[in-house]
Amino acid sequence: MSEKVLEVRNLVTKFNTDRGAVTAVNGVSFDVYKGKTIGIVGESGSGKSVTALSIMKLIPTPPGEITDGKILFKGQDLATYSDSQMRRIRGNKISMIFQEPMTSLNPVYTVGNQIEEVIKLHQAHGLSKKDIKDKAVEMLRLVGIPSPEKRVNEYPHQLSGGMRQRVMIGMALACEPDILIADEPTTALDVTIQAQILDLMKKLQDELGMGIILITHDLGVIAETAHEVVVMYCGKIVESATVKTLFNNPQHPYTKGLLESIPSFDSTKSGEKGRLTTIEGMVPSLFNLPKGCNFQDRCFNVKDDCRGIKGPPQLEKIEANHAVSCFYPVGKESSI
Amino acid sequence: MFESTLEKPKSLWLDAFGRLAKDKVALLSLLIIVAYFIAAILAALGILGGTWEQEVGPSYHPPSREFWFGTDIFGRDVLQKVFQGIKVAVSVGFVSAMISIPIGIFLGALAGYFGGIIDEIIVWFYTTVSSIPRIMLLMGISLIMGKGLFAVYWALGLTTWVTLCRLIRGEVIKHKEREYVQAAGAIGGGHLRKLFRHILPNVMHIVIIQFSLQFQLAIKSEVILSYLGIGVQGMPSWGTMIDDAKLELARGVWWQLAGATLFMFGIVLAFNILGDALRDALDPKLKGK
Amino acid sequence: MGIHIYILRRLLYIIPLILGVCLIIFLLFNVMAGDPTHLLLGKHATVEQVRELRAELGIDRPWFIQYFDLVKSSFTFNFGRSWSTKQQISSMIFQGIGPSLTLTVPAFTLGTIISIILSLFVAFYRGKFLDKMIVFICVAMMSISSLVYILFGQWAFAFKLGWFEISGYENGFPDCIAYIILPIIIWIMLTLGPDVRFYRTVMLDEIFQDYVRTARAKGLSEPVILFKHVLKNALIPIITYVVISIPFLILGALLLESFFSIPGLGGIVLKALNSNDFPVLRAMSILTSVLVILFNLVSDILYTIVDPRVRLQ
Repeated sequence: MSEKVLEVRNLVTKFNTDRGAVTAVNGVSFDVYKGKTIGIVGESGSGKSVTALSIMKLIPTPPGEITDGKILFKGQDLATYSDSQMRRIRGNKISMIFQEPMTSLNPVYTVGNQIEEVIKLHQAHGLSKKDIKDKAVEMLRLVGIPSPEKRVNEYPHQLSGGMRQRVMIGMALACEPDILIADEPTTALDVTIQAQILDLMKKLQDELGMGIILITHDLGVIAETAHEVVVMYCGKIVESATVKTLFNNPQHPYTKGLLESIPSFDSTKSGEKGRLTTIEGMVPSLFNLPKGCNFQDRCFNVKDDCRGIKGPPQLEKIEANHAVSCFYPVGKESSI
Repeated sequence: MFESTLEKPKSLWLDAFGRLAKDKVALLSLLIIVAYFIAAILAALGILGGTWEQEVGPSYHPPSREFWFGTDIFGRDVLQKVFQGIKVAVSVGFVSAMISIPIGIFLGALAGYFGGIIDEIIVWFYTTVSSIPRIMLLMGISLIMGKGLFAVYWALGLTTWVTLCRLIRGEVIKHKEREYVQAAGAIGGGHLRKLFRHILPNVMHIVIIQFSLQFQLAIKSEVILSYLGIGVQGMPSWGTMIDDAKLELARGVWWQLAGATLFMFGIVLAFNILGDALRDALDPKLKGK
Repeated sequence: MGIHIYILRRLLYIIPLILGVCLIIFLLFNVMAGDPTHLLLGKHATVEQVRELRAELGIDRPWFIQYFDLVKSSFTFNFGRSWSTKQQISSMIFQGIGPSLTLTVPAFTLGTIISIILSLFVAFYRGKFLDKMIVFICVAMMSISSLVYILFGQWAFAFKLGWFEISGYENGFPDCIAYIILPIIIWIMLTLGPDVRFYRTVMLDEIFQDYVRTARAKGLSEPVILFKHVLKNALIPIITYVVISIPFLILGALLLESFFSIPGLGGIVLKALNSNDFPVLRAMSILTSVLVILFNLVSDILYTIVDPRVRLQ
């Protein structure tokens, strides 16, 4: 079994807006293992990005705040870390890459300079300037950029979107972190480039052994790259499982809806006359969550006691490596 | 971060109005401006400051209970003069804006919408006008129009339209290619219709912001014009009062300067604050503050 | 290649701009301002005197020749003679430029440096009370007429407190220092408000960019992010702004020179205004306009050099 590298326990992150307090992450727990990828799936606003930023403690602190929970990284609780302590972790032990490769690199410094910067910051001892430069070139080579010795002196705008994302990955892995957090890394890229980047990430995981937290709204990406999945809705985890289990036996109505709304060429899977299936309704406003289950207004299987009498559902284990937060799970092998 | 979980955005104006309503400082500024406008009207009617020409006290009497801002060299009540100054300032701001704004909108819309040679000519025109330092232009115009309030209106109006023109041109160019304009064309809308009914309403927010900027710039410029001798004649304005102070200060007479500066500070500051608040509320490319 | 063509086009565009500027100045001072002979000779001039004067001043020539002369002067900088002092205008300019620059160059340099530092400071504390207070102070300072600053400054610090010279000037360095300190301080006070606000906006625009988020995710501290990442990007629009402001240094600070009796170009302009000395007014207008046009070009070119996104295509 792989070593557990991160334990998130009951993380709660709130924002104070002028319309009141919003709980963007409401009691989220999961584990990250070395060499394994955990996917966090959800629509915009589900809290998945905020979860990632909370782990990195990059939430702007007014108006945001981590109000509860533990973020145990190798036994240390990051939630209690000061900013200067976190700065030694960021880019060094835990790295993050973002969705927009076009704008995530500084336009006025060379690509090499920006990779060297993170090396100089965290692991400069004993390394000469040339060593650091060479390491930057190495990272470019590692992420599959051709002619890295030349590219290292180029500016971000001289590279394509896919290449810029590779640079971001190289920059993130330069200090060989234990965890890589990837927030929608392929959403802004062409489909063909998407596949390349995901393959790259898998390959690097095999080589370097880091754990990956992969955030996405795209179940296809999860199917390709993740080992385990958590599905988030309105700040809570509604289902967590291994990827295989989730795709074969989704229990939560939301998960089922997500899987069914993937367009398929197989006419037996889509609805009548080949129409796309969707989940009815809209995500409720975080300022105005319903009593009881957050999903009640869109659920095809909603019952009366989902609306508040029993309170909100809790995440409960239904089999090995499979938990769901629902009073009336809907999968084929439902034991509740 | 959680855009879709918040309510759908209301229209730009409702949203802006809502945001402004919560900004207490901006609301206060608006109230102050309205108060000044009312005072200006009252002064024009002679109700406020109507007795400014009368000699009511000794020459250069310092501020007292009777004369809050003392008297000037002719024994006139400075406070009454300040009220007349409000009238002049508000009229200068207003009229000069009424001159420069239509020019700016007209030329900017024309240039942005039709493009091509019309655009080239208009861009060349406003580039040349803005290359000449404003103060030289003001002097030149005053040579033609002489001195006095009327000349001030035109001098300021004719020299401040360029910024608005540039901004409008930019916005019209952006909007011209947007779908809603092409849709209007598809259902048979001609050029004028597209321009007036569809594009211009969407650039009005720029006009409002510029109006507030230009208004206070005009008030400050009037002071300089008075100093140069090409400003308002024959009636008190804040500019003439501040200009008088250059001789008075050496004699220890500070109250005319203080009165004019104080009242000018009030309206200019209010416009600055309101203009900023408007820009924050109406500018669609809002980032976090 | 694209850049070189761009620069060439911009260079060529100067010509229609200068022609346009001369046209406006010509219309203002030669055509519309009316016949200056009556202003100069008084009401009781005879027809003979008027005709003589008109020939002497060159205003009896056809208009397109007068316009052509104007355009020529914008390239040769030979502006003829002043109507009031009868001096060669170009030598007047030559004499006046020194004192003007001793005032404006140090003022502008110091003012810019102080404003940039303040804006970095304010960007660091954005949203906090310090930021809001400084912004409010800037706005408040901008709400007072420049004349008031000059009047008050001169009265309070030179006249009453005697810390500085009230007015006057002495040529040459370091003799002039005593006379320019107060005007320099006043200039800085005048430009601090608008400049800090502008630079602050530029800084904040950069701070909210994605690359700053990446820098934080790398573990960099806020000060390093500000000074290394944000500043370098912010300098691009700042340099543009600074370069464009330079031509206005020539006019000296018109008002400051007048109040402090500094014999610079600003004073020359004011005297010309009072004496209806058209040639001088024309000359100064052309001089400053040509400089504005040139420096705008310089700023555009500089932009292509300084921004790697434009430089390397």
